[in-house]
Amino acid sequence: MSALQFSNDAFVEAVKKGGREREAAIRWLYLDQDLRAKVGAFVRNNQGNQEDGTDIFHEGILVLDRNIRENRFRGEAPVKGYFFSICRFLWMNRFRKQAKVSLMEPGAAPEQPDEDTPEGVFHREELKEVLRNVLNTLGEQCRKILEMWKLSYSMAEIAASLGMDSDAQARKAKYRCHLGLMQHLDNNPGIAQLLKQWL
Amino acid sequence: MNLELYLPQFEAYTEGTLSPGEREAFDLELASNPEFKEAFSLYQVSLHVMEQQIEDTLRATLKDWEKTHSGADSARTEARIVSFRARLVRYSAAAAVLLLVGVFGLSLVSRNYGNQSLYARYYDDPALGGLRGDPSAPAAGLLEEAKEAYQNQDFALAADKLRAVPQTDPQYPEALYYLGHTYSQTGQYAEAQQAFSQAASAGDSRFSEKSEWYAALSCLRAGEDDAACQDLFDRMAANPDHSFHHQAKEMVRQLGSFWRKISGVFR
Repeated sequence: MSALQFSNDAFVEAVKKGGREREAAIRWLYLDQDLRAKVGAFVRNNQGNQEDGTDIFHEGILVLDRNIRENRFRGEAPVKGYFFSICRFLWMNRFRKQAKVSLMEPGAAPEQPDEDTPEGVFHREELKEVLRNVLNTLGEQCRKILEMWKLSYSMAEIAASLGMDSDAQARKAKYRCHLGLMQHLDNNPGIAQLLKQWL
Repeated sequence: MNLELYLPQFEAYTEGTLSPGEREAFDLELASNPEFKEAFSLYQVSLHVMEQQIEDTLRATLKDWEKTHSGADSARTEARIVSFRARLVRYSAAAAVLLLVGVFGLSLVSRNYGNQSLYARYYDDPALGGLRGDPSAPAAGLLEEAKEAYQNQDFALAADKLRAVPQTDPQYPEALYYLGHTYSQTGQYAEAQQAFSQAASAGDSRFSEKSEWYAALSCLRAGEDDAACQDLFDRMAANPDHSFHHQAKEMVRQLGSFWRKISGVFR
C-alpha cells in the first residue's frame, strides 16, 4: 500500500502539478478503503450493487481529477467530502437516467458538481465518441506524448517513457504530434465546428 | 492557415510564459486577425481532445489497479488454501490410503501434483530486494521506481516501468527477469513465461539460468502443453552445472510420478 499521505492542499497541488505526483495522489485516493466502503455503502443503500459501487468510485476519481486540474474545485470543502458528493451525484444521475426510482437523499453537497440531465449525459457520451474518433487518427505514440505533455510531464520524462534519446527529440515529437492534431481539425471543419459548439 | 507558426505562440500564451508586452500583442492579434483567432480555437479544441485521452487512460489504469487488487486478494486466498492443504496432507497421512480410494483422495492427489500446487511449491517471490541496478546506468531511475511500485503491490505500474527499460540498456535482462516476476504476481503466467524466456536468452549470465527455471515454472502454471514444459525442466535436469539442476531433477521426477499421472484425470 502507498506509504504517501496527502493533506487536502497537498493532494490538490499534486494533481494540478501533474506527472508522477498526480499519479501518486490519485493512487492514494484509490487505495482509501474507508472512502471506497462509504461510496459502496451509499450505492448499495440506493438499490445498486457492489459492482455499481466500484464503477461509481472509478467515475468519481475521473471527475475529481479533471475538476481539480480545471480549477473547478475551489478547495472550500475537504477533498474526500467533495469526492463523496461527486460519487453521490454520479449515482443519482445514473439512477435517474435508468428511471428506476428517485433517490431519498437529493440534498445539496458542499461545492456540488454540475448536475447532469439525462440529455446532458447523452450529449456528453456523443461528444466523447467524436473526441475518441479524432484521437484514433493519431498514432499511439502521439496520443501518449500529448497526454503526458498535457499532464505536465517533463520532456525528460516523456523521452524516458517512450525510449527516446533526448529531451529535444521528445520536444520535436510533441510539436509534430500537436501540429498533426491541429491540422486534422483544420482539414475537417465539420468536426472542428461540432466540437467548438459542444465544448 | 499558418499553424506551424502559431502553435509555439499558443503554447506560450496558455502556459503564461509570455511577457506582459507579448501578451498584449497576442490579445491584439486575437482581436484583429480572424485566421489567428480561428487557429487559436482549433488549439483549444486540441486540448480537449487530449483531455479525452487522459480520461480514457486513467479509466484503464483504474481498471488495471482493480484487477491487480482482485488478483492479489485471490492469490492470498490461494496461498491460504495451499497452506491448508499442506497441513491437511500431514495431519491426515494415516487416512491417506482410505482417501486415495475415494474421489476426495484422488482430488487431493490432483491438488498436490497439479500444476498450481507444483508451481506454488517451487516459486519464490524475489520481492525485488535484489533490484538495485547501477546508479549510473540510463535505466537506473526506472528500475528504482519499478522496485518501489512492486513493493507497494502496484504491479501494473511496476510492469510499465520495467517494460520502459530500453533493449539497449545494460540492465535490460534484469528488467525482463523482474518483469516476469511482476507478471507472476498478477497471474499473467503466459506473459511471465515470455518475459523469463527473453531474459534467459538476453545474454546476462546473472539472470539466464534462474530465468530459465522461472520460465519453466510459469509454463507449468500457465497450463501449457505438459510435454513442452517438461522439455524445459529436462534440459536443466540434464545439465549438472545448471544452478537449478537439483530442483529441475526433483520436478522431473514429480512430473513423471504415478500420482501426477492420476492427478491428470482431474486437470
